[in-house]
Amino acid sequence: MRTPRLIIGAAALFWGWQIGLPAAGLAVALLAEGARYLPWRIAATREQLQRIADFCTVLLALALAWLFATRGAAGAVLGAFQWLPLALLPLATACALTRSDALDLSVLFLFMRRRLRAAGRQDGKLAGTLHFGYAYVALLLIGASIANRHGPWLYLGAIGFALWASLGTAWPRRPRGAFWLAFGCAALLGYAASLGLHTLQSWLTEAVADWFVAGGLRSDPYRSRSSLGTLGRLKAHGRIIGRVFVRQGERAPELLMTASYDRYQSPDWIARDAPLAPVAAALDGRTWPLAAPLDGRTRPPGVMTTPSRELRVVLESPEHAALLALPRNSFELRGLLAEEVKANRLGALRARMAAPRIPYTVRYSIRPPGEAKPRAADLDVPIEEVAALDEVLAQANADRGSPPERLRAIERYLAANYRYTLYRAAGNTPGATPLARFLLDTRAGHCEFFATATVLLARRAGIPARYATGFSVREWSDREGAYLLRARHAHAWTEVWTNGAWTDLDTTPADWSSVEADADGSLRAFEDLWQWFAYTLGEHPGEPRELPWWLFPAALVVAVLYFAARLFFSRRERFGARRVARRSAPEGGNPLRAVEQELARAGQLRLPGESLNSFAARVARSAPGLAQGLDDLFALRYRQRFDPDASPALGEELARAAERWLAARRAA
Amino acid sequence: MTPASVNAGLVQRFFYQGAGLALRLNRRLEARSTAAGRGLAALAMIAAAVGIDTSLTLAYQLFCLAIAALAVAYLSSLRDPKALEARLAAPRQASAGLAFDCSVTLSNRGAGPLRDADLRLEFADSRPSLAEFLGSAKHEARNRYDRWLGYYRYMELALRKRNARAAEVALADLAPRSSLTVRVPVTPLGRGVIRIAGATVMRREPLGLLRAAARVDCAAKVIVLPRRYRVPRVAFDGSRRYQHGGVALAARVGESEEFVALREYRAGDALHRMHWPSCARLGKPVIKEFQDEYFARHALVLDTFVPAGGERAFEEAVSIAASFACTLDTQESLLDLLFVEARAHGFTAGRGLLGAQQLLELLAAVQPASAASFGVLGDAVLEQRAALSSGLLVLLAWDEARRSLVERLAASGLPIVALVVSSGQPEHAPAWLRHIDPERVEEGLARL
Repeated sequence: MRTPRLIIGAAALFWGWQIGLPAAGLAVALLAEGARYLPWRIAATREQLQRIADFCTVLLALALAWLFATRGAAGAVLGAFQWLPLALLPLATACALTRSDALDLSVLFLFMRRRLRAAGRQDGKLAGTLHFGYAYVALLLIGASIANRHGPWLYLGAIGFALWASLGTAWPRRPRGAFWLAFGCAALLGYAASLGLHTLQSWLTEAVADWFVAGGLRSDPYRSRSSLGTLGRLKAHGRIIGRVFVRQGERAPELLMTASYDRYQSPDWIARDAPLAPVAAALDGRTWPLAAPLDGRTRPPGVMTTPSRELRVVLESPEHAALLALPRNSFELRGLLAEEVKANRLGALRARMAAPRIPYTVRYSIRPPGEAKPRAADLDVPIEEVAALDEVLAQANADRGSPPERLRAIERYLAANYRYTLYRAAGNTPGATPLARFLLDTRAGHCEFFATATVLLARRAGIPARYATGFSVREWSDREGAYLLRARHAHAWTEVWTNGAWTDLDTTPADWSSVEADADGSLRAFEDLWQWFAYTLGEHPGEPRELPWWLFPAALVVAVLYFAARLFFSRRERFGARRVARRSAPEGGNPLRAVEQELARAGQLRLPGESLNSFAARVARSAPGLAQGLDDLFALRYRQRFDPDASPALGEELARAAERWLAARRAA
Repeated sequence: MTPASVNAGLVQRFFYQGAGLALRLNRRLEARSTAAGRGLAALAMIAAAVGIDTSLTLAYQLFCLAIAALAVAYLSSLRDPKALEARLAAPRQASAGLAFDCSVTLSNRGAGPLRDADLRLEFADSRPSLAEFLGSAKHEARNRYDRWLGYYRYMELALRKRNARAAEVALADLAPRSSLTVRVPVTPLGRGVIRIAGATVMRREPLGLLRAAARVDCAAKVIVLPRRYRVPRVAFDGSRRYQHGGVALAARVGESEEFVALREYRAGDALHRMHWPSCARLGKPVIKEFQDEYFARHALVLDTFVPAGGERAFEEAVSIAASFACTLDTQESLLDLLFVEARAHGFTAGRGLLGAQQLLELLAAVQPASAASFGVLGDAVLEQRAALSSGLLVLLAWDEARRSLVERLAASGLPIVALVVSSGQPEHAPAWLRHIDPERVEEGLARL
């Protein structure tokens, strides 16, 4: 059963039109459909089709690597489906050139090839068949759907191709009224279902967007889920999730904040009364002034005139949305091509993008402007933590003196008596809160413990404080010319209100980064290289970027090497086969010819078609004297002819044995 | 029994039940859907995966169209065809691997016509028993997961038990109160029996995606003879032997001889040889006189003690035995087929006794031995030794018991040809022992 005429060509043109590359569609149509109209056909064996399928797999793998590097994992999967028809074009053309488009499934699937080999079956009956033409049309439609061209055309096209396929094949044989009725019902029902599905998902997305979509950079502006209660070793990821570029000669700020929280509900931190509100873009659509009220207050106009700096940040967010990492006192974002930017009163900014990469330039002042004053919540301490906090405050002598002195006492005490660890021991005080265990028992923990303890100790000492999360900027990469933000650089620290401004206070021991770096695997260098490769080749929204000049030559070299290797090995096999054929060719080189002639002279003529064994048995019956040694000689000959593992030296051994037999015969 | 083995047994039982359910579902799915319907379902699944986010792609539209078409097709296929009768004509015998045709005559007793329908044969319940499933060897070629799950093993067992593949055939339109006959090609997979239990008539709904199905009863049994190979003519050197009791009773046990004539009683004649009717007629004792018979009698000994992993070799050994059973000259000689299942069996063919066809039918049903040891077969052969002229032994291994049997037969002066059918070259094999690789039987036989 072949696909109806022209359907593949039409589907290819439709695909090309939908993805915006009509030339590609035309090329696919000409090759996959046009090949059917050639006046000759090829008789491709299963092995040949398997090689063509292997070639398609290589094309697909190259495309996947490219897409993965440029679009990330999710984009690569969708992109692969979009370009799958092109990758499978050689196979589609080969199928069009054969007499039937029923393709043995073992051509496509390696495990089926293995099954066939294991079962010792070459007739292909273990594997099913696939009508490749129809599958190809379906793939073209799926590829077209990924272009996401809104409008009725995809649906109408799908209906058209379904009708074409139905009427052009044996089922149903005669379209009757029932067929048209069923088809019409299906088309209408499908249309209604697609509308309903799309509307439902849009509604759901809108309804839960504020809760779930903000997961970029693993942060939630409303709640910070800490690992305070987690026992055992925490996993530190070395994956690069952002890059920070600074002007020559300038240093990057040590901390980039993504969110801030004011209420502790063990073990989480929560941002109370801090809904996200849209930030208005400037006229160019790429500049986002942050002088808008934070906490209901307008920044003093002096902010814009204080000395300022800027740095460029590129964040990777496969979710297309992220909390932006910003230095303290940021007042403007530039070059941010976001669909939407929202901010809350605690300084968290969330951007939603069309692409998984979020580049922006942030301007910040180096002198603290007037900021939102602390609220009562910034002094809240959970009642269950009070005892432990008071004990530590007393030990640290932080319950007296001016606020800055108290803070210094807390900082000194934590630095002297606590250490950083990624391993969380169970402790000896069951029933105590995780923070109390950290403060009084284990005295070792990661940054979340130090930040939480500092916030609550400061509050208990009467100093307003908040819990901040973000990144520690500390790894410079010469290769990339940027500071790298890795997942394990995610950090938590304290914001304290001193001298009329919020300032950062990081009490985590300074060696925390090296402890986490030790947890990196040995393949980190390769992963970094791969990520750099992906970053270099990837799309950068808002920036026209040329592909590196070496990319296509490199791909070409890889492809040429691959095919050269395939050709080399396949030719070697063929030459090997020729060698075997030459070695076992009976004419010219039969070392037993002289033996047979000798036997014929002695009256034992080998009959036409008589096997050597029968001949030997007959000689043994009629002339036992002549038969001596013949069995061994003939067995050697059989081995030389039929044993696929026989060594080439066997021929010489046979010749020597024949010589010996003849010598013995002459001597007799 | 340890708790771990109890758990393993429970898990295997669970997988057994699951595989049985999957087999039934699979058969039902095949009956109820067409290739186009299954393809559309696959398209729907891919489109669902690709179009999970309706804002990113339009693949959800393809998903909805496919699902809607399948839903409409399902509703259209709810009414099964009714009032159908079938009559099946199948050959009594077939050969393994060679397709044969079954003829199905389908009658439509209903009031409406039957259009757009297909027919497929249904075989008798082929599900393996739990004991068969647990006892079956795990296929080494499979990956660890498959071996553990046992699904493919179950399917292979079911297929082996079903022992046939039958293609679906499209039916022409069948008017009310009329009949039509179709030929359904069936391919036997191995020797044994094929039990056809009925046929399923499947009517495609208007979209051609799903089918309404009805089962009609029509039973038949086909004996599948073993696959045969071309074998060389084996020259046995054995001389003719005295056959106690003559041809007719050569296969029996007891005091019997070939009747020649009547003569008067002589002193010393056994009373049980007295011919009483003649005694009564003549009024004096008359004795039946018997002629001793001498003719060649060959033994075809089939080793049924299958070593681990030797199922394929066993099947090939049966095929080789069948090939020889067909080829050996039984016009002037007798052929004893000896093998062991629960006990030793011996059947004699030739010179008016069993024919080659009957031997093949016997071989079609041979099962691996369940007797305790190879010695049972050895004893059976040695018991017949006195009457045998030569022996052809088809063995499955070359171990001490087999070597001992062959050596004892050879020491008794019986000319023998011994073949070992095994995957690997047997160890310590003497030069005269012929080895046949089950993967290259024809080549091995040609070298005999």
